[in-house]
Amino acid sequence: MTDPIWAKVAQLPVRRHSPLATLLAALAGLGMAAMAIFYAVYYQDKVGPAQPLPFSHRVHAGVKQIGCVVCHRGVASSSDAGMPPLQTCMLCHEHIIREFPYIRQLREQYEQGVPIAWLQVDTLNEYAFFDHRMHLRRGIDCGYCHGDIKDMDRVFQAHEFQMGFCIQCHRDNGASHDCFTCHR
Amino acid sequence: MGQISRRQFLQYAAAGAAAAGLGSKNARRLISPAEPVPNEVAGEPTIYATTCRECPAGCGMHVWNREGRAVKAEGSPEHPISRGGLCARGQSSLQGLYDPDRIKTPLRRGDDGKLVPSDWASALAAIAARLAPKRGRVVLLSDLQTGTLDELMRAFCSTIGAAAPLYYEPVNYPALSRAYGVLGHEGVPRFVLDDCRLVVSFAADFLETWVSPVEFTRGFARTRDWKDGGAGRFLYVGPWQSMTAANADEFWQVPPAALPHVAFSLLHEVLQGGHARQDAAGIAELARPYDLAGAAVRAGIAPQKLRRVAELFCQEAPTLALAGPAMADDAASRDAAVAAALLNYAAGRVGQTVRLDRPHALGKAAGRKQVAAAIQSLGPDDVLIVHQANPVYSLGGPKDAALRAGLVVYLGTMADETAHQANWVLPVDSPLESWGDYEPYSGIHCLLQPVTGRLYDTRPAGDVLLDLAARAGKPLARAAGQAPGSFQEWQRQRLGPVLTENKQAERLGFAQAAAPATRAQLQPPAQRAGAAIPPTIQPPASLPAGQAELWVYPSIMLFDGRLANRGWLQEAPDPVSYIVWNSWLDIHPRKALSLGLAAGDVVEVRNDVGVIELPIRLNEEQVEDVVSVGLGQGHTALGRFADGVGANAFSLLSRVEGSPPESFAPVRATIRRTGRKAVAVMATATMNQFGRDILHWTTPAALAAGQAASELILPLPEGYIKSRDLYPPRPYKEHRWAMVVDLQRCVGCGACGVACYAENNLPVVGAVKAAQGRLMAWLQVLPYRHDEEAGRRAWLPLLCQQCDAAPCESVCPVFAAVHNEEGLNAQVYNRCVGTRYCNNNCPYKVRRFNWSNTEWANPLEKQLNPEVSVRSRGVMEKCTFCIQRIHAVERRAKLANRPVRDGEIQPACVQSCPARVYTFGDLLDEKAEVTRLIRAEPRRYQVLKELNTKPAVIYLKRIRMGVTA
Repeated sequence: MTDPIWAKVAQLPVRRHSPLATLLAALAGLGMAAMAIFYAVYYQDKVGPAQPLPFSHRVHAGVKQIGCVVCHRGVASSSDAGMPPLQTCMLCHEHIIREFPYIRQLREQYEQGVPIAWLQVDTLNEYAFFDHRMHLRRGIDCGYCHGDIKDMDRVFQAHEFQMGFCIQCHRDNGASHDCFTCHR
Repeated sequence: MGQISRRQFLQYAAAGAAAAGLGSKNARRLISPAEPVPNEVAGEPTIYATTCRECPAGCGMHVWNREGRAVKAEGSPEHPISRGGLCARGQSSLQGLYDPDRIKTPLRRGDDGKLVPSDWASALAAIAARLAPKRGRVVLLSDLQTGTLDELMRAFCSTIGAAAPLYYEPVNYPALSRAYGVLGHEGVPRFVLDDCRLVVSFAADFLETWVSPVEFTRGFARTRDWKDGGAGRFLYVGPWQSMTAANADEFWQVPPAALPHVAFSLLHEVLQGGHARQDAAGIAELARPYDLAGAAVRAGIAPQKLRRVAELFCQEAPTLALAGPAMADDAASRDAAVAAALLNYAAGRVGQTVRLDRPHALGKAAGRKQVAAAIQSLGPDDVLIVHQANPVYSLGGPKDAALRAGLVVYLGTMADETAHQANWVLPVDSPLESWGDYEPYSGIHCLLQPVTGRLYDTRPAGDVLLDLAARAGKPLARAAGQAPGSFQEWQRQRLGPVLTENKQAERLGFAQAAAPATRAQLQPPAQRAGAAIPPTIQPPASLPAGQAELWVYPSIMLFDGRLANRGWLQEAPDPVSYIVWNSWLDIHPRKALSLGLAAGDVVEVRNDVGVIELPIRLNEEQVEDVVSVGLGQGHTALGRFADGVGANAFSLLSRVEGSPPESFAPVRATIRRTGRKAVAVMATATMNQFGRDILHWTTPAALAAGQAASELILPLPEGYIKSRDLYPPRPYKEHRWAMVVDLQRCVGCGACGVACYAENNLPVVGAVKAAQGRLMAWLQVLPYRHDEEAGRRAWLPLLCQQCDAAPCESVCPVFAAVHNEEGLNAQVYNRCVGTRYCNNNCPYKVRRFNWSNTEWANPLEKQLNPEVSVRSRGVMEKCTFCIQRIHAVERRAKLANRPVRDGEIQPACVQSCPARVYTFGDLLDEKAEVTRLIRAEPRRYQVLKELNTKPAVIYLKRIRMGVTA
């Protein structure tokens, strides 16, 4: 009881590979697998939304090691971390890569007083309220919620801010479980 | 259409997909401004001190700005006039700023008679061209201005050769300001109610709109406190029970024409009884004809009552007599006001509770008749410039005859009835966008500063006038010779010395000049009385059948109508009738019967001046021959919320000097049935208590005997009794928030309710849904009648009681109604599925269900408080004790490593209350004021305590007392 297809396959002439070619193919396969594992584990392959002006957190926070608070100044004193005014960018970029096209665009916007409206990436639902300074007061690292910003070129949301994410941490740290703490 | 390449197609497809994907989640934007915004921290409010310009009182305001948007107006605690309170009208100033119907660009009357958009350059050029040659007259009409804008307007008028500007306030006080001319000080003096032992008001509604209501409410509430075995008393004499009258310990119902009889007979008794503390030889002659027996006959007041009041008025100190209702200019009101002024004089109150050295700016205001005469006199060659006034509405006249000037220029924020008759409409800054100053009492400079950026293409009114004069070739200069280029510079030059002297002025929002060096010279009335006061008391006239005397009063919410396009105020119930979104005619049931009227009838009110139609409300608390109607409604072109609501009662008031019907009161009108039916919607089902004892009264006797207090079931573990309670006691670790509401202080003004709308993003539902009972107010100041004593009424601010054993919590199937760690009944909106079980089980009925999603008319959504969720359809909501404010203070305290201070947390209602009715605090704090009041205050009780809900809102009973009894 043979399938006609298989009967045809059986009639095909058999080509023999040299052992070297087989070895190379196997090595190539292994190499691809290794790369896949490497990308999955060590390389952040996610990319956040394109912003009005390209800005790499990887370069600023990672390579140049600029602290978060240098730009997000409200984080310790307000509920909002706050976005830096373009003036803050110009503190460095008055001198650094002045002629890079995007920096030129930045300078033009700064000089003309045109604000940048960034897309918010780390979003919280409107019925939940969060206070940055109270969490910083407890010494919680920014990366705990925002992920490894130093590795992100275009920032993406590292954690879905679902209630479980918040509550788990509150539970672990003995923080308030009162609904009114976040919902009002 | 051209071909698109495959590449383009893919780009579009990708862009579309991205937009669809992002639209749901990433619509929110974070802004990086070019330069840092001064005084602004994202996430934190910036507070600007400014001055409220919604009425001529000039109260101090703190406006909260969040990320550039003005979100909340509060009373300024240090302000010498308002001292921390802010009335409903002041709260609504934000809705004035963000009014969706504001004028956005200059408008020009097109050839077809419609207003069409224009621009500033052509507007100013065209108007200046008319001002340059001396052709006709120019009249500048403005709302009441003092300070810099007054100086600038005067300079404008004199430079271009016009008469002095007319400061038009439809709600002005001619009888009152003329009365003090008897003492040589024509004008409106400053009245000090604080600590008065007896206040007598002759139809002056000083808790509502009369002169400076927030200031008076603050002072009045202080007098009401039970101290050392007594409290200040209040007698109201008038034809109709207004909110002020309902707060009186005794309300003498007398017809308007009998008011001077009562007042003069009191004066007579003061003089005859030898109570006078001033030399009053000259006035004795005046008062002689008005003895007690006469008053008894004409006003129906027993002589012994008058005798007792006369005695108290002079013996107790301090005391105060107030008279001269708003707009009153008739003989009876004038005489009553003179009598009241002389009463104050005779009892030695001048210089004590009546301060003649700090007159109110309202004394300068022109009334309707003066303005009508000025407008009528204009012809085709003349120019009329109107600034922030609406004479076409408030003169109530026939439309075609209203503005006859050849060129009418309107400077204002709203495209109102007057703007619709103007040739040019120029949008000016709202008071919240302006620099400025206002001097309500002489020597008190209240400063205005912008609390947010300009919304539209508007300019300061002062700059427009400066520009117009310059373009007309007649540039303005100050008297001292300087020629400031802008209004702000003018103000700086004028106020410079005051501001250098008062270093704190800019932070506080006001500067107080030192008290006048010389005390006001008081002229004894003897020299002037004979000439000044002809005793014109007339015998009571009988009314023809079908007629009634008309009593017209400015509405507490809408004032003279300028605020009618504000949803909060339309939806804030009138304190007396509790009607929303309408106007109505108050009529005595017996009068209604005699006219063949029944509840729900719409009547036509007609007199020689005009006619209006409106529904009736049967009201026993008024003189039988008087019908009363409030001002403010009946707009035809103010905006989407105001137009077509109610009727304009100004149409019944004469505009012509000396013509019949001569005056404000008595104005006669004929009442006729129209045959139509309409119900004015009330925001409460009933004012009767049906013996349920919701609002408790106590008596001075019970207080003296120490029997006034009711036992409380405290919302603390100590309130738990095993035999009675189903649920275990709730342990509180840090706080247990509670509130004490002093009913003796509450006057019913409703400021707290509007403050709640502003703070908690409460939607305005409109007239139709209000009729369906779908109002969203979290806090209502409910009027209740005394079960036994007719005419006795009081208000009960009812908000969520934050029960310890809350009936709402146990019935929620999804745990959306849960108890909070600090004792509050939390409502978790995102959990709520809208079963409404909680509201059904709530005995206080303070929960509100969202029947629809609210659309805020742009730009009203800019006012929304970012600290509070905007609720959607299908969700139950309720008072949270302003949890966002509690948290803000808790966080502040935590960051500073200190405990929360008592009184530091002020929910919106607590902050706004001019009468200081509310006390908020922590019951676990032994030293907190709430703890003291709950443990020791002899008037404490809980509403519906018998249900064992253990409410955390503790009320203090109202004291039921009399004046003469």
